[in-house]
Amino acid sequence: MKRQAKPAAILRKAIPGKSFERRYLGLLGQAADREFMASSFELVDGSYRLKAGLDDKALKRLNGLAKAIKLNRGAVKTGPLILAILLGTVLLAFGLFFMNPVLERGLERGLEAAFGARAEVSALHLDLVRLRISIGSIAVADRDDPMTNLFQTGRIELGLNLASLLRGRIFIEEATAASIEAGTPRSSSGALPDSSARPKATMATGSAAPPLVDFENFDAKALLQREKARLGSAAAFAEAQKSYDEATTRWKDRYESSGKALASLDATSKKILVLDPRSIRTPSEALAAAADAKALIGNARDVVKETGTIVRGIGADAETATSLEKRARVAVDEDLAYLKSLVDPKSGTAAKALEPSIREILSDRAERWLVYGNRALEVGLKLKSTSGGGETGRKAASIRGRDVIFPSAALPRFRLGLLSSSFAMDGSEYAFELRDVSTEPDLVASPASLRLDIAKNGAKAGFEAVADLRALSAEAYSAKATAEGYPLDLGDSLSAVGIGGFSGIADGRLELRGEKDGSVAATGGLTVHEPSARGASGTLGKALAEAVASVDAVELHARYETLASGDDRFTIDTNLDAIVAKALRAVAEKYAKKAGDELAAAMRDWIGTELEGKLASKTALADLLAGARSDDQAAVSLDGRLGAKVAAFEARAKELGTGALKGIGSGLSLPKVKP
Amino acid sequence: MVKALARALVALNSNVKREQIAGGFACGVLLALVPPGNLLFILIFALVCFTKVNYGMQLLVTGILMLARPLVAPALDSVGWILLNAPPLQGFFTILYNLPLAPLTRFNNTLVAGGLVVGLALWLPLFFAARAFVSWYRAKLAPKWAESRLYKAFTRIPFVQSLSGAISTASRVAGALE
Repeated sequence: MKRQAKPAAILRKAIPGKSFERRYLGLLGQAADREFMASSFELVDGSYRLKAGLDDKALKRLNGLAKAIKLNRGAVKTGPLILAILLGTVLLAFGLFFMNPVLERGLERGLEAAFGARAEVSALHLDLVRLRISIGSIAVADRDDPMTNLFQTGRIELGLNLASLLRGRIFIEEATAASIEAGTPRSSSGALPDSSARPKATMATGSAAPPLVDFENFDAKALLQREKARLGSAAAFAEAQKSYDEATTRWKDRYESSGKALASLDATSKKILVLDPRSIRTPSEALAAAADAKALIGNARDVVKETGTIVRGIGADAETATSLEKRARVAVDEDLAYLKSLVDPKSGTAAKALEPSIREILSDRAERWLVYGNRALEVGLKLKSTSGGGETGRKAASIRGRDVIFPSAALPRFRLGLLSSSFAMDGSEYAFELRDVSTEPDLVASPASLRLDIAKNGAKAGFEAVADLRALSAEAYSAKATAEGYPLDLGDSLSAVGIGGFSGIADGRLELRGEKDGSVAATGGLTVHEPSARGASGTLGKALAEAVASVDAVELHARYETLASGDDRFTIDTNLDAIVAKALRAVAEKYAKKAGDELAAAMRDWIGTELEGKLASKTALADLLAGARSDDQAAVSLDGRLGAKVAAFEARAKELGTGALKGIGSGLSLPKVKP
Repeated sequence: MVKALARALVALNSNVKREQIAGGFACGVLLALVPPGNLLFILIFALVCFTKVNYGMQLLVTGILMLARPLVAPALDSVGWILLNAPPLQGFFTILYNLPLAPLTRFNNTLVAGGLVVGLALWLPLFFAARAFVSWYRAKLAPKWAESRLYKAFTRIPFVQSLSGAISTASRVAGALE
């Protein structure tokens, strides 16, 4: 038997009239349902009661309507509220058990984005009640040297500022780190998959200094042989040789050809030249001889013209070749002076040889500091550029809108008030303070600053750096470093100049200043007390070691500048010059004159045997020029003699003509003879 | 979106109070105008979730209008800019900006401020208009529509039959949840 449907509880009770109208019928949206419900109730003693005898279908429909009435009552949904409470509970549980790993990964990603290399954060723990974060360690790899950490910290404790946090800002009021190290080696590469190491800026190198000469084992020929590639003589002689050879080749054939023409003319002219005008008996014979002589004069003038051209051409080429030869001889003098400078300490060559070694040592250290300074600036600027999400000006609307910054809202999105650390490592005491690092430096009263103090066995070093990324400041960063009583050991850095080791007690200072346009200027000074040079070898090395031992201190002032264009300049001012000069004075007195003489002899020998032989064609060209001049003179002479013959033949013809007229009488007239 | 449409149709054709449907419509417009990703959006969303405004209608309106948001963004930006830079309100906004939690609402963003102001200004007119529409729909349109040949032919389309089934299911689910 089918069971009869039971009316819902809210339908079984007596409902007051007003309540029935407002809380039952009023909560039904469909008019048909309202009418059905009204018809299912009857008014009894001022209250509505469910009619008796309603069928099962009507009861089921009423129950559905009762459900709708219940749903329409009130303004708050209990279901989502319970869901929200459950969700909150789940989130809390997630926070307790899973939030720290998520934050850890988030911090790693943030550091990786800022430094462009892999970052590892371990044991991060956020205490929301005390607003403190503790981190086991942070290691950030060096983007340009992935197997080295840019920095690595020990345990870090951070204290957050609640007021800032409630305003959506992160203000780390104070952070302490157990230790901070830079340049520690990594066991795995720190390169990110989609980033590549930037090429390191190459330091401008000075002109290659010549190697030093060991006077004790001096060999002039060996030195000459070693330095031949640097000498200009060989090239100058080769150029002169080429000029002589080309000139000789150019004029030889033409000279021979003109000689043959001259010989032929000479032979042809002999018959005319030997003819005596007085032996001619008739005017017509005299005139014919004059005509023959005139024809030869034309040929003679062509030969004169050619020989003259050859003489002038050879002369000009010989002059060019001679000037090149003179230049080659000047180069010989210069080369000899250069070679002598290698054995003359007063020339400064020894100091020049020392400078690259010093520069390498200093630039290596300075470059390391510059790398850290530039990297810090780069990260700061990156933070600054990513912090300003919205626009503050009246610009075109974007899909993200514009943020209007109000005057008193001087809270940056991220600010690290103080990160300090004080720890001992490798026998040294370190004290470290980093202040006011912020994503919006303009909202922080003071620029970011770093202070580092190191003390070890009575020696002290201090480092203070300020990075000012505020818009109104032109200076990007500046740093000052001082050191007192630090043992200095350069190891074998000076082996190139014959010193196996150099040590002393160093006092130093460094001032570094970087502008926002990328230019950097660094000045530094170093005083090395009790200097000692060990393992000296070679003449210079031994002399230097003695000279270093005889002075109280080695002074050194260096200046390094990188311009915005990328060019750099490095200068060193030091008393090492004086020390080197002193060291070598004795060496010069003992060895230099002898070595210089030996070098001059070796040079003369080299020039005589190798270089002068290259000028063999000089003689050939001179012979050619002499022969050409001789031919020219012969041709000119022949031309003169032929001219004289023509005049003589014409005079004879005139004479013979006048005699014939006297014999015949005055009725005859003679033809006029043209000259 | 289909589910939201189904739930909205269920609400229109069931005993859901017309105020709840109208509230869902007005709140949907407000949520569509305020950009997400800030505390203000979360607060409005939570308010909508915990009150008996019709969720289906709200979701449907928000979904549709969010697609059109880029079109109204310049206008909202201008309204927000004028509001945030109005000299008489500078003191109020400055105080608000320095209050705890207030900056998390990103009220200082032109789109957030513009969307909130426009959404709130439109809320009451939209509420009353939607309520009137629901009354008119239930009293006039729904009976005529149900009797029309077009509706009968329409309900015979397989997709519409599936949709009808989904509506019934959604109705049951909604009933269980609310």
